[in-house]
Amino acid sequence: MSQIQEDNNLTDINDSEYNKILDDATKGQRTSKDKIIEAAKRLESLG
Amino acid sequence: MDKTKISSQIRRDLKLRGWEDDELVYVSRILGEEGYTDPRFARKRLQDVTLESLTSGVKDLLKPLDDKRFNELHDSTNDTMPILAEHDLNYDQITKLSQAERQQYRDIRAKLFSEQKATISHGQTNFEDKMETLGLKSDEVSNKKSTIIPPKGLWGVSDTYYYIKGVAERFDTIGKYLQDVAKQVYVFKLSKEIDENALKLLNSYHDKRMLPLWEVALTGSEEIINILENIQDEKNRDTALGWMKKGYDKHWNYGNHGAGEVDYIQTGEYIFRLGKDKNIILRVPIKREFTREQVGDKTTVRLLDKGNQIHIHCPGHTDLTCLSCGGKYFLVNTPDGNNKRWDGYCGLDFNKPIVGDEERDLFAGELFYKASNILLENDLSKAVEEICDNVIFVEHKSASDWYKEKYKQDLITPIIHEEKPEKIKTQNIDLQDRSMIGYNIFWGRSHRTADKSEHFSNEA
Repeated sequence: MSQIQEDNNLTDINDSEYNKILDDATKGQRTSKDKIIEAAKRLESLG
Repeated sequence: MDKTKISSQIRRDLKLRGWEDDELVYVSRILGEEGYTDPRFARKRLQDVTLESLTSGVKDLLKPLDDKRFNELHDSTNDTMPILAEHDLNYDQITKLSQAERQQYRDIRAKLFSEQKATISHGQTNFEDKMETLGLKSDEVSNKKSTIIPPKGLWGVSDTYYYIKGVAERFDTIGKYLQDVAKQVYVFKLSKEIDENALKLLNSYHDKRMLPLWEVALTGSEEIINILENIQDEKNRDTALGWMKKGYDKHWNYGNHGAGEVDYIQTGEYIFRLGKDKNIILRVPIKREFTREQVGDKTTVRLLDKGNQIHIHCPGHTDLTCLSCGGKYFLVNTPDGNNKRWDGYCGLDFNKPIVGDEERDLFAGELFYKASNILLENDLSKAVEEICDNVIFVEHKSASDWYKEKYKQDLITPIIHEEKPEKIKTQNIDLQDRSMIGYNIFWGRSHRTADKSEHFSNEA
């Protein structure tokens, strides 16, 4: 399997809603497609 | 945020939360379908990741082959050996093969077994990782290290995390710049003249600018280091204030071993036990004692050489009287012949080192008293205490489930009483009684293993 390359210039996103969505996805909802897309939309809305 | 970076950002943040690479591939695929794709990584990311590629590979190499099918394959003019090698041929079938065919059968089959082994081993590693992420450990691992860190699935960011990280980064930046400049100064070695000028300017900057501004800050950073360093100490992990408390107990109350027993370590393990009254179930935390060496090492202060001595000088009050004449005036004969009148000083003049444990302990006790009072008022120390008080609990089973499992009866409304910690040896804990596990920065940590600690405790 190919290793995904990561962008080293990324930093922490200081937005509690975004971080909560990711925490929720981590807590037992790992395969939740909705949470992951929700996080992406939240990031997009932050501009 | 740039749409092409969103997928990378989310994967990074999920990785920080403990997600594994194969799970991140899944995230990447979902976001790719939604149009959140970084074109730089798009092709690499999506290639060859199919369900088949993840699940194929394990074949049943122990299945037998019936004689009819064996004869068909054996008599075939095609190369059927790869198919035959996937079957566990019986003795009669193997003897029907030629010597060369037997060798080929052996070699292909050995290779297939080797591949299977690698696939299964890889699968097992994947499986163990996934289970650990969910907080599920094998009995062996659970017994060996009951509380180290919580499962990755429970990790998470918080405002305090961002704050501490932010402060650390600011200090780190100054340090990094200084290191960079130092490296450049080393690589491009300075001439003697420039070296002198530069050092003079730096010293001047230090005296005129840094000292007034930073004097307080430098004192402050000493304080910060003193408060934070204990958390980094893998061997003796407790807060500065925690060790102060142990210092009290050692010096004033219980001694090294006693203080180790009183200021115990929580293992994080909790067990259920039946209470005396109906419907009462006790939940008992398991503790271990600190070792007396840990208490001794951490709560004793080594005095500096300069202070570790006492200056003894003749007090000069020795009065002598002649028995024959009652006279009080004497001459002291000195080697150089300059005899002088006895002035009451005997010449005693030396530094006596302080070596007694008693003095040393008194001194250390005094320090603890003062220092702990300072720490009690210090907000950073208070913040560290708060952080270290945090416990994450994961329940193994409910009280009702435990009762049903153990006594084969239902207990409709159990009342749980939280008990004081008890010291119970690992071998005396029934796995069935395990109630829950608590994860804390310091719990379960000990220089010795719990079992060794019990051994020494029993010998004491």
